[in-house]
Amino acid sequence: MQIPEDIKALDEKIAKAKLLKQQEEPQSKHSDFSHLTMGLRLGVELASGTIVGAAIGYTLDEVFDFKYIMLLIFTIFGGCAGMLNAYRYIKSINTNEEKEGE
Amino acid sequence: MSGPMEQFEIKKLVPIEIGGYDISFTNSALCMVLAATLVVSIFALCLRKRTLVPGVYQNIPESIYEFIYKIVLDNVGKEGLKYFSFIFTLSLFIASGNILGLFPYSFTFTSHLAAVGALSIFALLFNMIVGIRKKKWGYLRTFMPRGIPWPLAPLIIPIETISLLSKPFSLTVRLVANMTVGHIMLKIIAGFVAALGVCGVVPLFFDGCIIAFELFIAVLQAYIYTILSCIYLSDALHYH
Repeated sequence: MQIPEDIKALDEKIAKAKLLKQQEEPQSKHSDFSHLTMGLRLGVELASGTIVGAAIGYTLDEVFDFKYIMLLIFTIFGGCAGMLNAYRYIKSINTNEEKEGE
Repeated sequence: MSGPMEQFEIKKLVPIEIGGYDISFTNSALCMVLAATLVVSIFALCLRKRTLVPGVYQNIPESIYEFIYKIVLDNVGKEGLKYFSFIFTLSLFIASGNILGLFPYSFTFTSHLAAVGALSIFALLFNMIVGIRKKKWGYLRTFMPRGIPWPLAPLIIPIETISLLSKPFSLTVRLVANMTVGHIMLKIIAGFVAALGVCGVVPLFFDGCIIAFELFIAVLQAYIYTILSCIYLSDALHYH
């Protein structure tokens, strides 16, 4: 389908306006709300790893009758997994900020 | 007056039992059907007259489409566009469920661990299948990243497995907690409106503000759910 000339002109006008707006706007900073979201996500990541680890350990104990050894081991593994997830999240934020800065 | 937790009770509308399993049609299932129907109806109505220059009604679905398209493109890349329809359906279903729950006499199915958990597990399985299809045996590298010495495998493999399995859990908890807390708060403050008589205008005003805030949270949580699903999909496609 052929695009009419006036639509093409409008498209160019919109692109120019968008470019101008981008140049005018200062670099966006993280708001307090986004900090709160980051904090909440970190908390959830830390807790969810531990809970999932404990749940796996408890299930293994119930099925194979390990006398709560698996619960202990997998809770520790879960805590580590939670920290790993939190670390990866922080790393991804830093990488994004570096990309924005370039 | 009913308690603040009563709004989350599952009620059987059509009792069905097959082979000893209770698969009754509940108020939660009804709201899921309503949410899906609502989205399809709005899209069908708005896209009746499709023109090159979109009108007001055509702009609504097109903006939503472009918004989610951009999320997938930014977070997963061009490769992720193959799975756009899945992410699009998931986010619209969650968003409509969250918003539908704000209506009086409605039910928020996104406040239930079972409903959102099932969606998250489905999303995790989908990501795993996508990852396995793309990397074949190389997908197992997810559990043992490159550069880690083999003697550390007994420690790293369980940690990475739990890390993978905790992703749908954290997705679910975040959405469910936000929805549940918001609705409980609304109900408690609404309780004061009747109890305080004339002075009930003050909590009524607060309730109005909270409903506006909840509407924002409903959309925001659907957005976060979509972004995280995209990130997990990206991990399955590109990680290691």
